[in-house]
Amino acid sequence: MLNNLLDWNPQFFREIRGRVKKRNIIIASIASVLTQFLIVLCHLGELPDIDLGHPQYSRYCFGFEKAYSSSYLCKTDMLENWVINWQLFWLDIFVVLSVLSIFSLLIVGTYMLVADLTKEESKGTLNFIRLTPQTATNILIGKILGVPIMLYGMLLLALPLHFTAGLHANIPVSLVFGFYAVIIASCAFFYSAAILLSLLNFPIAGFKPWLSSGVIFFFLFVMTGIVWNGYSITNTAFDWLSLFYPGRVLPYLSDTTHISHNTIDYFYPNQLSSLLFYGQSWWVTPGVGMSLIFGNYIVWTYWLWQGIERRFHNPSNTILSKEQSYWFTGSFVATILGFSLQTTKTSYLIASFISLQCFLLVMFLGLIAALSPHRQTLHDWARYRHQLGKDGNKLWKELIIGEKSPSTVAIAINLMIAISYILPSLFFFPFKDGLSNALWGLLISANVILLYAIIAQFILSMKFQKRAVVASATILSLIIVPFFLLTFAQARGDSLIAGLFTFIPVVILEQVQLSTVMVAILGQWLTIALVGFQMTKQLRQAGASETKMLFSEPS
Amino acid sequence: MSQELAIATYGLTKRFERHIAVNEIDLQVRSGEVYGLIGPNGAGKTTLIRMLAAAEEPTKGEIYINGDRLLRDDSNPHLKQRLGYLPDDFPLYDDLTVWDYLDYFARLYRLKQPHRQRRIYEVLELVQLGNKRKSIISTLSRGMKQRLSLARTIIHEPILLLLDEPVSGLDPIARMQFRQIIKILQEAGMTILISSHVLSDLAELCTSVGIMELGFLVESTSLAELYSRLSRQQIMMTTLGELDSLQRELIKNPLIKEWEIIPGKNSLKVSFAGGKTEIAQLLRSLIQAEIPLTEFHCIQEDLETIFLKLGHQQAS
Repeated sequence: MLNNLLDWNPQFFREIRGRVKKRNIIIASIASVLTQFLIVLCHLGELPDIDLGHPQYSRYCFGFEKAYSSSYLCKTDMLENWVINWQLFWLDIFVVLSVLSIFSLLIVGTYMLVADLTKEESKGTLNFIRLTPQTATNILIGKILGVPIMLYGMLLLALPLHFTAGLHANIPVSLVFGFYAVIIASCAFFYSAAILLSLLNFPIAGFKPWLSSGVIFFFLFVMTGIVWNGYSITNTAFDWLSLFYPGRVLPYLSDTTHISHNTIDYFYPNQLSSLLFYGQSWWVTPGVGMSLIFGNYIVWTYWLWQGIERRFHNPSNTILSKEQSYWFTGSFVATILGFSLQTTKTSYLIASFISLQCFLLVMFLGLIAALSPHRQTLHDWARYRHQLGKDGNKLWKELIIGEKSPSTVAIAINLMIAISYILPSLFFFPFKDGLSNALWGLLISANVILLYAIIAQFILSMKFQKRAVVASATILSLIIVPFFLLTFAQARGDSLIAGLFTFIPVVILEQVQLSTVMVAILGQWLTIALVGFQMTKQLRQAGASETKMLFSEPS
Repeated sequence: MSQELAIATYGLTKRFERHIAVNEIDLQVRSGEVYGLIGPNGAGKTTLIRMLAAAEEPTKGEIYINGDRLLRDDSNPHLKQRLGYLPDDFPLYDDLTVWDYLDYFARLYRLKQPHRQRRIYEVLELVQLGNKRKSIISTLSRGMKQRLSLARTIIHEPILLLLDEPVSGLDPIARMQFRQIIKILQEAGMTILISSHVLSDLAELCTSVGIMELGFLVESTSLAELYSRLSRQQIMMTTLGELDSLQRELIKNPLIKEWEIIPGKNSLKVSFAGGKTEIAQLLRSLIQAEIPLTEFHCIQEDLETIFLKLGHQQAS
């Protein structure tokens, strides 16, 4: 079987050959066994001491009242044996091992993958692999399976203890396997994201592994804290974000043990059952809930692979094609809207709407980065468009679906897709007086995002070093500065027009007059037109032939 | 499109900013040829080869390999199976052994057992690394690494080899070994496109040459045609007597345009415009004039001289 696998995937073969060495196996095995031993030892240390008499307190004793923190006063049976809550003991071991596995798999695995791919790219060996007849999927699946192979080995050694702990904690076997499926899906998602990051041009390549694993550590750390502290459903798009935390399914598993939440003390009643998606609570039963979490990973992993396949074979490609971006925006907006606006309280609705706009901004910033071609591509397009055009040089067609054309029109279409999907829902919900503000807010934030898009594309088409860094810094300052100006203006009682240049103008729309709103919108349109005009002029110059340039030079 | 053409490019162009690295190149290389690409640094040779290997995307133009359009995506695995590309730098995996490295690439190119094992032995023998097959790559010398890279390039029996400066940085023995391997591959029927700084190597290996300058392909012809068009007939003469008496005799012959005195030797390199009969007559006249000749043989101008004659300032 191993031979078949090695034959099927040459990349997996290469990783096995390079990494599975006797020394590595010994180190990984010792580390895994030692960690398991320490975890069990720590938990055994919590049990009451046989040699000591009464009174003793332990987390694993049966009792009616907690003595202090999470410990109970221990009792003995008629044979003077301590009565131990072994189910809780095993549940604790199961949960600790689960969390440890999630952290190590996602953080260490991501680091290893990004470091490996970055090294291959900088050395130039990845180019040789690109030139072989293998598909990107085949190569990169080989990487995902092979690069963290020693980490997988360590975790496989811990699997018997984990599985046994689950069974002794009375967790149904099907749910334990379901949990494994969710872990595997989460690895597929995070590893795919890591691979996509590795294939992007980055100013300091050596920083990529630290950045990716750092971001994942932060996410897991925050999400673990939130789940542990009784996460309550917010009915905003943040609920969707929390579904990317694989530990989110652990409360399902602990619920099936029927140990009271008071005894477990770290999992509160599973809030997922009150999570709504388009008004329906799909996450009530563990089977359906875990399947949906699994499905969520699969959908977004699919989109990551669209970008990976484009970038692997041609690193100068944009991450998504314009056509793909329309479908991506559709699926993203359909998903986050499903989690937002799931309440009928007007104040909550506004908060949910603001969070929806925040998510839209993040998505569009990503989309601007994913769709905007760089200077060389733009100049080549401007220069040779007429000779390369397959569609009879129809400019509008190239701007909508062309591979190398500027991204601004495509971003505008994506904005229209997002708005046309969100707009009807605003009328269904009781925004009351806030409806007009929500509508204006949606229009202004679309303007602001389009402004970001055109400025980013303009900077990317200019001639200087580190254009991507300058474009990112400019957009970041365009996002932050209006908030500062708004804060100062509020403090000094000045005009709040700066707030209309933020991506969530709905927060101050109540405090400004309609005429101010109109001025702001006109100002935004004028800026978009001016930058667009300047960029067109620049591209026309870039597109001029050498002869034309020669004749236009002043003698 | 002719199936006989191993490489055909039409209007192939590559721009970096406003600089045109490769400019509207229409290159045609017939199957079975060894095509040498020469030109000064920055002429666009490497960029052209990279585009032919699908390692670089052309700004404009089309590339056909054996009549099939080459595109930079995953739509043409059969074309990739036919191509072998060796860049001027040759990154390797230091953690693998020579055998594992070749086994890995043989698998990437979908070679199945037992053919895979047989092929690895074949290429190892060809590049003379059979005794090093269990060695870790990091322990190999530069020449060995170069040969291993060539083995990797030909492991899948490509029909078109693209070699970019393959002998640069190698010592004379390693260069000679490399030349011998290329000759074997040529005899095996591979079409080879090779760029090199060492024009004498190319003269020995190539059947055709292309000269690139400022992104243009200024010359693309067979080597025989190039010699007949641009190389002058020269005769090397050495005498035991006075050089002056030899020179006095040479002045009398109208077919002799000029000569060059070889310093340190009693020899002249004479440019001669006549054919074989006239050469025989010249020899007869010199013997009759009792010039004590010890050497009299025809030579041709080498590729480097022709290259310089074409107006290029440097050979590489």
